[in-house]
Amino acid sequence: MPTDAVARSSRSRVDWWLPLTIGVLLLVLSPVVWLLMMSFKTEVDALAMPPKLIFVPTLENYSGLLEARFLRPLLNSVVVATVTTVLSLALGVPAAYALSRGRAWATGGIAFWILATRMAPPIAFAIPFFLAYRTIGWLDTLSGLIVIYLTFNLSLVIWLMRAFFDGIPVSLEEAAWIDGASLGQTIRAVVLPLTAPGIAASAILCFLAAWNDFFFALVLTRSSAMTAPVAIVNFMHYAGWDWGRITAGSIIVALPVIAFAVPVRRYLVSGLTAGALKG
Amino acid sequence: MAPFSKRFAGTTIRLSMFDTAFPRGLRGLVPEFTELTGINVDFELLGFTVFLQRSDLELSGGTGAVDAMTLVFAQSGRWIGAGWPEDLTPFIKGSNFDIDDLLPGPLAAMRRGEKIYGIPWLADSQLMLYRKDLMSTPPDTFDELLETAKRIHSPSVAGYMPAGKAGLNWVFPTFLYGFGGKFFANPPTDLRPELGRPEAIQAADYWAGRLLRNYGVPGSANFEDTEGIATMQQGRAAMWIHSLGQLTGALDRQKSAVADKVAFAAPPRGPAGRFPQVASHGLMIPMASKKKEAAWEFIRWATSRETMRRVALDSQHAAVTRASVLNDPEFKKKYRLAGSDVPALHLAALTAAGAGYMSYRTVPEFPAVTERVVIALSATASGQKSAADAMTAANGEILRLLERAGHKVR
Amino acid sequence: MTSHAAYRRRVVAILLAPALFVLIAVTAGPLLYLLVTSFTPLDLTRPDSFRFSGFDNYRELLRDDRFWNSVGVQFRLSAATVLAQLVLGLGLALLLNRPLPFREALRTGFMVPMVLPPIIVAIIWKIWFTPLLTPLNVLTVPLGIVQPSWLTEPALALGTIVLADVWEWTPFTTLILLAALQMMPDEPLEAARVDGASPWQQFLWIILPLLRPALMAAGLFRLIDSFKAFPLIFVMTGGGPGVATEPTNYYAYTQAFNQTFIGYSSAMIVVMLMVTMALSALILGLPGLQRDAD
Repeated sequence: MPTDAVARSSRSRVDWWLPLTIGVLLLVLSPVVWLLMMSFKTEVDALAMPPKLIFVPTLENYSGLLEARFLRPLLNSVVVATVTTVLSLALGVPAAYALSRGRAWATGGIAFWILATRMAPPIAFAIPFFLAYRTIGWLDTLSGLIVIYLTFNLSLVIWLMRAFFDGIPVSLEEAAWIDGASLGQTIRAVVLPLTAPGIAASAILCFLAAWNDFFFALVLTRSSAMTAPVAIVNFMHYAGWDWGRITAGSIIVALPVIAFAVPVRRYLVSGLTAGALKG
Repeated sequence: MAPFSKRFAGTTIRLSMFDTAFPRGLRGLVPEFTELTGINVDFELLGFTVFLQRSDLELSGGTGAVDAMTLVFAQSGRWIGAGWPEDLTPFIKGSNFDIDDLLPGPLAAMRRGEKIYGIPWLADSQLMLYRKDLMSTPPDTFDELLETAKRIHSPSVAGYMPAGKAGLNWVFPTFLYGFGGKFFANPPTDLRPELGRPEAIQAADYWAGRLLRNYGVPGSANFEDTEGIATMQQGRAAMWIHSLGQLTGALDRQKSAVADKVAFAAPPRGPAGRFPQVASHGLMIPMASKKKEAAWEFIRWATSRETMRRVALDSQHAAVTRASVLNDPEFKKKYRLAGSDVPALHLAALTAAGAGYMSYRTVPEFPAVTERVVIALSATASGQKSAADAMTAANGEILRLLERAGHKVR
Repeated sequence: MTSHAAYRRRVVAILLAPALFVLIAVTAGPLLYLLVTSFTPLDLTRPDSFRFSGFDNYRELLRDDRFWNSVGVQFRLSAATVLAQLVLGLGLALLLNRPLPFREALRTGFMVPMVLPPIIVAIIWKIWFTPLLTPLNVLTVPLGIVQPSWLTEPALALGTIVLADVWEWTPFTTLILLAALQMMPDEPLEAARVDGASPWQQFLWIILPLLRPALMAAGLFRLIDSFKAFPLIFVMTGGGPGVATEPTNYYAYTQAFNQTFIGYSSAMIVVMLMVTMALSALILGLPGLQRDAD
């Protein structure tokens, strides 16, 4: 099997590869572990010199988040990420299907455009959107964020789902057609169930991309529509950095991401490269 | 002044200010305001540089997310020029606000002819805070300042407290003018920049290249004012030139280890004289606010004689803007601080500035100009560039900047 | 058959239209607006500044030292991070390609830095390089070592950004190279081993050449992505000390959103976009690329 072609070549060595790998992994994850630890430390412990590795954990940073009215930005993040995902899927899945079944010439140009826009620095969109929203009063609104997130999520869905639809032979649909099913029925009964994993993966990737956004939220929101990442950075800017809340907030924002990313690990690279590469 | 009523009970206004003595003291009194009027106040206190960034974004975006905010001195030319603060004159007249008690100097920056765009609460002056346990007399000239810093500087106590980005922006002019240099040839009409001249280079070299670079608190280049205050409170620096509003933080008996060991003096003078900087910050209402009447109620309460007096007496806000408070005997008694007559120093600074050398600061393009100067100074202080290179380059950039803004500067 | 195909074609057009319309509206429209703005000296404090000024902004860019500095910073940042990510990514991919127990779990673990919200990564590393809070103190304090001011020392500041960026994105190159390793055919390696080649020789002459397309693709993607670096710089250094860590993207941000010089900033971004688009076109033209449409 190709998988082990490289590995087989040095099997004769003593097998300390596993401990090495685990060691490297722990080293790599240590900054994250430190963040986690800090979120459970009191301010005194956090600033102790030398830093405490053993300490009495506290939940005061997390409860402090409620006091700091972190709930609202957190909810904003959830709402925006969810709605933008639904919108992207609603628009993107049919488009992906169309591209998959359509002619090749359309896809070439669209492919380039999608790739180019995903690779563009966010500020290229932030400026015109800022100017436009300023005029129509969409600054600091959830709708404003939801729409601008389409710039990266719509193309993500289209490209990812197109690959999935490509994997379903047209002959299956034609067989259903011969059996008398309409296109709508065919799609519902035959195509969609087969691409369900793809839709789930696209949904998760969209959600994560929106959840993780910082730049657009920084520039386009102020107080009502502020999302969680911006709220955390706010804690850094109030007089005297509030490390407890910063770290607790960070953990809360990071956990769902890690949880959701695990099932879609296979598609992460595709998601990040607009489908140009497999990971 | 018209009495307060509960006309706007139930409204919530959003207030955004940068962190310094007065807002800190004010925040404690806000529940009384809510008691009095039924208006809730969402009080946001930010570090100075962050406040500037957010405010600019807010004002240029016009979202109406903020109902009352600090009108920053250095931005007053630019913001008022852009039409972002609301004209407060009708509010002043309508509520019989005693505007005449406000000192004319601080008010001038917020006034355009008959129209008033902000009510000043801070007439900040620059003073020098020094550790009297580490030196018998404070330095009076620039040379003495450098010598003293050098003499005292040690790993545990730095000779000087740079106060980060705010410091580069706010304190450098004292040295620039002290060496005989200036920002513009003759503001506000002749804006030819003069930052590439020998006097400016000398000032940058002295201030950033030698004082900050060699005798500054390590790592302080990114400090916000609060970290500067904390550092002074911990006794880790011997001298600090900054605004009165921040310096008084070192006197906080509960937090400061050196509350009894510090004293105030005027900032040192250079070959060309003594040029303590003054600034006045006020409260303004953004044009996009949807709760202007309620915001005005807050402003007139916050800048009223009673409130200002109380904040001055209860906390460390000495840089008041009302003649009545400045002359109040209790105020005078409280601020005979650490053996130094702070009100006198303060008044001296305000009077000196009457000569007009502060006019550079309210030029609308000043914020963009100072951004470049701060970068040049930061590069000099961290050793990346010589003062001559940094300032000459900055001057060239500023020249083109001003040209693009439509001024004739060549 | 024909009628199904024809029916399908009609449906295809209907399904594609809304999405295509939205896509163009949210991407092409704004970019066009950006282009237009780049030809004006738009400053939000001066309402009269939305007027045509030709190539003034672009000419100004050429003369702007701070712009060229930002290009230099960007160049150093991109070169260092892409190189490091490729080298480390390759090493990690080779490691994870081995028949290790718990391989899936290990691979998932290594993925974590890449999936974390970028702003959290920035905070993590800000903490790491803040002498007051860093776990490095566990080592330095007992030994009496004084840490340098990582984020404010001109010689070190960019290095901290590079380190954080490499930590965050090496999993990306790792995953791509791992996939490529797994697709690698057996025969060349078997032949080499039979001929008596050492593991190192096998790596240099067989594996590396076969990995070239994947390396180029991964490198190109990371290069383009490196232009977007924002959260790290925003949180860790703010572009300082001076402008030592201010890449072009960040400079454009300060001009647009701290200074309201929208016109000038737009011109800078248009220039960046042209570079980005050229590089993107390169990607699509890369030979031997693994596409999703396999």
